[in-house]
Amino acid sequence: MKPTRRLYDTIVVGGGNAGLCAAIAAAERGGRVLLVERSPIEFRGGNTKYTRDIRVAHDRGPYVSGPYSEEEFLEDIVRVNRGDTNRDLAKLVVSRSRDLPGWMERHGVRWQRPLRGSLHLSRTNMFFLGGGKALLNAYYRYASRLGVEVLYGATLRDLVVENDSFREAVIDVGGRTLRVEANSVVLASGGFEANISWLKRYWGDAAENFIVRGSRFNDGLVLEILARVGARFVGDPREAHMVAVDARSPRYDGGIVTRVDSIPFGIVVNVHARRFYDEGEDEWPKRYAMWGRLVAEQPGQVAYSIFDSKVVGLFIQPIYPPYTSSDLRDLAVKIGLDPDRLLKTVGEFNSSVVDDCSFRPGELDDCRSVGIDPPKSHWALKIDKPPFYAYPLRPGITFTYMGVAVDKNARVARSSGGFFRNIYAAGEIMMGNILRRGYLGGLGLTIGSVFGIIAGERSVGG
Amino acid sequence: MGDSDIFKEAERQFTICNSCRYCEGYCAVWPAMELRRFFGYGDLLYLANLCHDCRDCYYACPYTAPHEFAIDIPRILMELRRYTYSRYSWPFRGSIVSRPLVLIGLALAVSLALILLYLPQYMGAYMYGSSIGVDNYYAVPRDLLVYGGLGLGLWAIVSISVSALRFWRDVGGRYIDLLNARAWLQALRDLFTHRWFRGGGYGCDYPGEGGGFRRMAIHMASFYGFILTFIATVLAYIHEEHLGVPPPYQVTSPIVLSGLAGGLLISWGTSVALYYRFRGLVDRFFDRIDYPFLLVLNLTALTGLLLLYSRLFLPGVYGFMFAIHMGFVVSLFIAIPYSKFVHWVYRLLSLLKYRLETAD
Repeated sequence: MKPTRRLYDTIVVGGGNAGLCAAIAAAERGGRVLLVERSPIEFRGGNTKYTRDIRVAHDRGPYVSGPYSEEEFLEDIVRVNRGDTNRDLAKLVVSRSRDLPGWMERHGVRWQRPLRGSLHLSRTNMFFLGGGKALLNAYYRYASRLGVEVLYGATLRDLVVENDSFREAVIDVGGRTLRVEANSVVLASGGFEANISWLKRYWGDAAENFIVRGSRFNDGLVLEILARVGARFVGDPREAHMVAVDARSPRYDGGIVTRVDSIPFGIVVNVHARRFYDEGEDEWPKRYAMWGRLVAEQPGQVAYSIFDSKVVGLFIQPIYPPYTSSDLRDLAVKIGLDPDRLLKTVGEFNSSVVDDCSFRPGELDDCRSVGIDPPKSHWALKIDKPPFYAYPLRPGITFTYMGVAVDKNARVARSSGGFFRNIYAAGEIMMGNILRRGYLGGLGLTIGSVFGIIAGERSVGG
Repeated sequence: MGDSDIFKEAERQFTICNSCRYCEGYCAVWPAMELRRFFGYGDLLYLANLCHDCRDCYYACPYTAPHEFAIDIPRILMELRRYTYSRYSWPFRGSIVSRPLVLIGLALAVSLALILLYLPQYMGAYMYGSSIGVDNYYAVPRDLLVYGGLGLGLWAIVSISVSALRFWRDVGGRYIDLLNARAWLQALRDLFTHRWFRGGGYGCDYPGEGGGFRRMAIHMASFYGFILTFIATVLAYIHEEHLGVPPPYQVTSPIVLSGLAGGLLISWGTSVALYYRFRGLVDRFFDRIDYPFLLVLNLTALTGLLLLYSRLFLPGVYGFMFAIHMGFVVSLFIAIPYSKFVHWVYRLLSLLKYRLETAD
């Protein structure tokens, strides 16, 4: 595999959603495009493989349960960031999001119809049929019909930049180093969440115990190059989307199936068999994103979700079987906790649970604890009906927020002021412009698609 | 893989799938999976036969090999279907034809026997005959054809019924539910509209990624083609037996037209499927039991079309064509319990179960 030309209009670095949107948009305007994908073909597509829905402003439609206005979308972005976002860029994403479903359909993406009634529809997000890899396959097919050349297993080593202009890319592929010239470059290569030694700068040795849920290739090489050529960065490098995952998950690429949904239905203890946070604080989807960080802050970055047989079946089964025993003491031994200490923690918790309440797993119910710290605000049931179960938890890092600053044309900002003339960024690599903390499901794809299309168009003068 | 390994592997894979659920829009297998938390013997047989092998889920899966989860639902369900056909065949459990020569050999043997037996009486006459009419339509004794046909039909019905009832029991179906007219109507509608060949609006990744509606088209052609030829046969029987109108029938009669249309549809559908196979266009795998069945169905239809052709334009070889076509029909029917032919029985029952368990 090698490039067929000496000079391209656009080199796109990164073959996930943002990179493909850019490649397609550039090629549709007549651009000669080279797409440089780090991974082998089997693992192509970065973190997009693990996505399945996109957040877009819309009125009514067959694939959503109701309207979602641009105002509400913008408010949601501002709220999760607690105000700290680039409002102009956020507004741009929101207003352009309206056209995304049509664009996606025209390029081969299909939507998932409601399974039975509208029970499975979301109001804010549209689900594409088959999830992220199906979307990627559609885009790769479309791109290849447009004549986009794809280099798999290819690593961007360096960018040759003179003043404010990109000249050529240095690319390692198949054991050789190539220098490829292009009129512009679109960087859509993700964050640095798979680079453990980089994470250790901010997290210390704790990062050794992180599980990387997404692509192992998101190691931030391109961000390092950008730092070298003098790009301006935005976002806190310590901020990342992190959820609690099963501690037995693969180190990389476990994706969606590593999650553990049992937390609100029991208690969570650390290696000292002590509780450390309110397991029933708020609705589960909202709190889901908090638990990765909470576990990361515990000794050894490990915790255990413990529940009893009363709640089995109320949540999606994780892929690994739970540790189980008819005796709590025995369960403690199995997972390596001090049995006396666990018994004491469970005993204290059980005696704090109010007796007179109605347990309703789908809503914020009135089953809570009294006189215990930390409290459990909802879904508090005594852990007393054997057999007992435990899932071991670790922090699962999904993506990092720090990236390079861009303008509304997706051009990368320089630390010395102004923008590079022909270096563009899209997707996770510039997410920090808009998302700096918190989490909003499906927003990553929205940002990647909007800025990918803009970057692709601008890169060929569109 | 041994049988118990197949079930264990399917259980492992579905446990992972059930925690992902990205494929739920493609077909009925996924909503059916989501109703379950554990995957026992009957659950897996049911899910396997609900699968129409469109392969969308394979290409959409981020966990296929070389990922360590090594998910490949179409393949493991194909293994389970092959197990189903073999385990529930009756009589002689455990037999399933995976070599085309067995069926073709049987067909040719029957043809040869007919030719040898009836050559003196019938065949010679055609050589010098000028046309096929009421007197020489049958190249073998008519009673043999009628009673042989009824016998083969009975064999198929009894065999399929026994298999079906055993399968229904083992997937956890209640016999009383077999009387649920509403569920039957819905299941038959799913069957006749080929609903689950549509991949939720995307079509199938067959013969390769992005195959669209090709698979639905060739399967539908073969399916409706078979029904049309069956209708033609029944109509012909009624005409001769009860209305007293003996063959041959006019080319423009409903009998010949439906037989001709059916034969053309089967020939086209199965030819395209075989073409995909021989040209290596089918990505990944082509089940070894598909191929003998497709080939015999294809040759049955082709010899049927040639029979009609010879009746009209080449009466000299009509007798031989008659014997050869009959050989293939007999082979197809004898092999019903032991070939891919039975797949529709288990699929229809699985569609019925799906409608029963997802009824509002």
